[in-house]
Formats: sequence, structure tokens, C-alpha cells
Amino acid sequence: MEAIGDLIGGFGMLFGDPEALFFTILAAFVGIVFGALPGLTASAAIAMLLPLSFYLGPLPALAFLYVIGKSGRYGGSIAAILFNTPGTAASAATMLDGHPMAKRGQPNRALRTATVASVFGDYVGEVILIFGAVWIAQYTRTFGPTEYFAIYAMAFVVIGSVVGKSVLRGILSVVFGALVALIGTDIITNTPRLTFGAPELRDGMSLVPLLIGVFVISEIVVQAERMAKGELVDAGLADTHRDDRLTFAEVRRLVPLMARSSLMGSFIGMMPGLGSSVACFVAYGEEKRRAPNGAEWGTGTIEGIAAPESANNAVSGPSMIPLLTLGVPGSTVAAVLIGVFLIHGIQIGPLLFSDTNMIITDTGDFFSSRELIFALFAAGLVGIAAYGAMGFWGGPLIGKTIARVPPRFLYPFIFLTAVTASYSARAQIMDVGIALLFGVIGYAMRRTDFSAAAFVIAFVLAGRMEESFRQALLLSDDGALIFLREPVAGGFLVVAVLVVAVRLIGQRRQARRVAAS
Amino acid sequence: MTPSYRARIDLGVAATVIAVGAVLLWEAWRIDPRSYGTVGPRFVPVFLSSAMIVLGAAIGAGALMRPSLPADPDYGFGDGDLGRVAAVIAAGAVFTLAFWAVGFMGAAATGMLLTMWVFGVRSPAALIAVPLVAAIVYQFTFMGMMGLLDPRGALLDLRPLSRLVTPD
Repeated sequence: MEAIGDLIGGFGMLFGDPEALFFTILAAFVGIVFGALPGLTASAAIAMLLPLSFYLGPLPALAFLYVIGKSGRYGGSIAAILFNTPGTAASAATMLDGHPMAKRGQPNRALRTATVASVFGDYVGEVILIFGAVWIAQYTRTFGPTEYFAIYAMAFVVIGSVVGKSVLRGILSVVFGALVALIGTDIITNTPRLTFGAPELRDGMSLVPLLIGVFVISEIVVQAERMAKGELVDAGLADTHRDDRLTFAEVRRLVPLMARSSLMGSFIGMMPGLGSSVACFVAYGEEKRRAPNGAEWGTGTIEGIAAPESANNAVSGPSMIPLLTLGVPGSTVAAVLIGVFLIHGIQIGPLLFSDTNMIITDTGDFFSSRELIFALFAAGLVGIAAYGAMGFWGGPLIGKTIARVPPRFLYPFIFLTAVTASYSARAQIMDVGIALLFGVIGYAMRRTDFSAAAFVIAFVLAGRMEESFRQALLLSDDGALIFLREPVAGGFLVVAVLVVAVRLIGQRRQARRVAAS
Repeated sequence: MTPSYRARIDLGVAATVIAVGAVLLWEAWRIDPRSYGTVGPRFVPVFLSSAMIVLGAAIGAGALMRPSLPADPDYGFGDGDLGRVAAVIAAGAVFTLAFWAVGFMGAAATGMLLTMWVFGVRSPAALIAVPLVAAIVYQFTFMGMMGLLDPRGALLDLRPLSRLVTPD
């Protein structure tokens, strides 16, 4: 009940801050547009717009990027349905039924089904986030450096082993991300590390050029390759529309399916590393198995759109639970939000829910971090309504407008925005070069099954993990045995070992099956 | 037995990872290890770069043990267009160089022109007009509205021109 009171207070704070409200609504639109651009994702949008958030207060900045993460996931369904190209990996399953429906003259019905299902899933996920995070945070408040090191180690191993096709490459992505994060100066001894004697590297690597390189520039490179091969987006839609409406009776019929898919998506969202792309296929597969008309799925059924869309948007809220309660980002969007919290001097973790953890803004306003978090939750709820309204009535128009913009002009503009944004984070020309370097690295990672998401999450977490490790050892009388003697820490490490073992066994079985066939 | 395409790419990946790990290990080993605590600033970088070498070797060993493993269609660089990749990155490199040499506005126009060329725009009117408009819009947005530092070019100071868009 306390959470409901705080949430009402959060709405009050949001509606009392016109800037925050404006950026929440703007984010809903920006996310839809970026998500709907074939190839570009919410992570790419956030990477490019992150520098803008440096100029905003904590609430507008967080609300802006958080809502882009939500609406970007939804926007991917527009590209999936209209262009048969998933705007984001999370929309890959939506394409299976969405595009056939659009092709037979029902694009509006498909888009509206996706909108209703996305909004439904997102609200379920957001409610689970609000109550789940508050409940978990009361238990994690007592954790010290020993437990935190174990949690970070578990997160590294779990994210590395589940996020991609290969356990080895996933863990290598994590190790590489952590090493890049250590470039700079050791915060305890002030010793330069991994700088190769270059004084410019003593301040370390900035998150913005790294994100832009891995998510935006590598994607632009892929799009340039596609254009060279003539792989143009072809909607192939019918000229005439028939029965192109979603009725209220159909929505009512979809409610149980959307509820089940949303719960599946929410559960998957709570696991660090497992994101929307997993959730959408799990929900699609499970609901197809249950459906009496399962044989029709894949030919353009509204159920085949609603299940993956509810699940992939339900991931959004719960993926923030590990971030807000433990400081561990469950997704790339959450990893970027860590940067925003830190820029505004806010320590993430369970203390965020404390009433006594005060934040003072540049303008002299002050509020507790708990008030800020509940205002962020309120922004999430408003953002869902905003992208729902925009998508329901404007989705077809947004899709058609994007289809009219020639990619040969669109991607150069995105490229110029990306390289300029990488400069804008620290006003250093070197950062543009770093973004290009990580663009090449990101492209090579895509081509060889490495995980960009694991790389970025490790980059964000590595410094904190090392700090906890060294602090725990300072407190220990038994050296590294402290991590096994403390039951909570030991438990997390055991979970990490189990997850890797299960994944390795699964991978080996799959390799045997492939070899046998 | 001739290794499959996948095995050859895996061996290349393994060699690259081991080489990068070795360079990082060498650099990590040069970190001053003095510390007030049990673990100094060198421990984690040395541990991680060693792990990188070991994991790289594991990928290589996997490729050698299963040389006939078939590749996914989208694995590796077989269907890639590395010339196009190089062209995009080169456009970015020229933007960076131009930024240093002539400042932001000149770099924005140059970068836009080259990227449009890479993406297949060949209309002379578009190649002249769009970069000019883009340079003005980006100068106004980033240097004007966002108030970013607009450094003078090291070789040529074009700020008298850019000040027409964003006066001091």
C-alpha cells in the first residue's frame, strides 16, 4: 500500500515538472520512429540521445531514455508488420503473422493488434516492476561488498552465457568489455592502467562513443552493405484494404492470451541478459502450441501478433528490477540508465528506495531518491499511454512516412548525428575516432557471434565489480574464502556455476544433434 | 582435411582474441602493482587479459577439433562487403580528420557528402545542397542550441563562417 501512495506522489512530481512531462511524451514519439526504422533499435536511439540528457535534470533525463526503451520496442513492430524487417530483434516473431496480415490488405488491423498487445504487456511489466522492486529492495539493502562482488560475478557469467549463441563467446564479450572499462586510472591508487602511455586515455573510455560505435555505426555499416546488394525494404502490401479493423470483441478475446504472454515476458525480463528477443519467441511458441487454430499461425492471425508483442513489451519493466534493487543492469537500456544515474550523482542499488537519500539538482531543488524513482515509474506509465495513443492512431502514418524516406539519405543523416553525438559527450575529437573503432569492433562481433549487449553491460559494471572485490578482500581475514563463507555471496556464485554448466550441457547436446542430422 | 569456412573463421577469431589478450596482458603487467590493500591495481587487468587468452585458445581448439563444422548462413564475412564497410569507416575517419583540421562545420559538410556517396547518392545537386544544409543545421543544433565547444581548425580556422550560424 505504501508503494501506491508513493506512486501517486510520483505522478504529482511528474506532472509538476513540465520539462519531465514534455520529454516523456517526446520519448514516446522518438522511440516509435527509431524502432520503426529497419535495423535501428531503442539502444541505438538511446546511445545517440544520451548526450542530450546531460543537459536535463535527473527526472527528465531518466524519463526520456526509459520511455524511449519502451516505445522503441513497440516501434519495432511497425517495421516488422509493414516492411517484413524487424525494426528490433524483439519484433522478429511479430513478423511471422504481422506481415502476412498486412499483405492481404489488413495493415491497420495488424498494427492496432500490436499496439494493444504492447500496451497491455508493458503495463503488466510496469506493475510487476513497481511492486517487485520495492519488495526485493528491502532485502538487498543490507548487502555489503562481498555480496555485491558475488552478484556482479554472477551477472557477468549469467549474461555472458545466456545472451548469445555461444557460452565461450558470450563470456569473452564480457571479459573484453570489462578490460575496456579498466582503461584509465585506478580509483584507489591513482595508478594509470592499460593506457599504453597515452595521457588522453587516463580519464578512461566514455560510455557514449562506445555505445554509438557498437550499436549505431555497426548498424549503419550493415545497412550500407545491404544497399550495395540491393536488399531494399519492400513492403509488398496490397493496394486495397478489406476488413482492416480491430474490433472490441477481438480485443476481449485476446485478453487471456495477452495476460499469459505478458507474465511469460515479465518473468524472462527479470533474468539478466534474457531480453525481448527471447521473450517474443517463447510466448509465440507457447501460445501457438495452446491455440486451437495453431495450424493457421504464420498466415496472419491476430493471436500470432498479440502473443509476441505482449511478451516483448512486458520485458521492459521487470528488466529494471535487477538494476534498481542490485545495481545490475538486465538489459542494454538499463546499462545506459546507470550512466544517467551516475551523471546526476545518484548511486544505484537498493538505497534508491530510501527516503533519506537526498538528491539536490543544479537548480537547487531537492527530493529523495525514492521520490525520483516513483516519478520515473509514473513517467513509464504515462509513456506507455502516450506511445499507445500515438501508435493506435498514428502507427500506419508513421510507417508509411518512413517507407517514403529514401535510405540513401536517411542513413547518412543518422551517421552524422552519431559521430557528432560521440563528440558531444566530452567535447573530444578523439571520441569520434573511438566510436569509429568500436563501430568496426561491433560489426566484427555481429559477424562472429559475439554479444554486443554483454560487452556493454560488462563495460558499465566492471569498475564497480573490481571495487567490491577489493573492498571485500580488505574486510576479509581469510582472503578470497570470504566469498564462500558468506552464505548469500556463496549462493550467488553457486548459481553462476550452475547456469554455465546447464548452458554448456545444452550447447553440447545441440551440437551432437546437429552433427547427427 | 581442409577445414570448413566456419573453422577457418573460428581460427581467425581465436588468433585475434589471443593477440589482443597478449597485448593487453603485456600492458597490464606494466601497471605499478603497489597498493594499500591485499589486491593491487594490477590484479584484475592481468586476470582478465589472461582469461581472454585462455578463452581465445579454447575457440581455436574447438575449431581444430571440429574442422568440418558447418557455418550458419550469416556467420563470418563470406556474404559481407568489406569494401563498403571500409568506405563507411573511411568517411568517418575523414570527418574526424576534417574536424581537427577545419573545425566542426566543415567536417559536417565533408562527412555528409562522403556518406551520401557511400550510400549511392550520385545527383550533383543533392551532393552539394544536402551537405551544406546539414552542416548549417548540425552547427546550429549542436554548437548553438546545445552549446558544445566549437574548436578552431588546426590547419584552417573556418569559424568566421560558422559564426554566421552560431554567433558568439
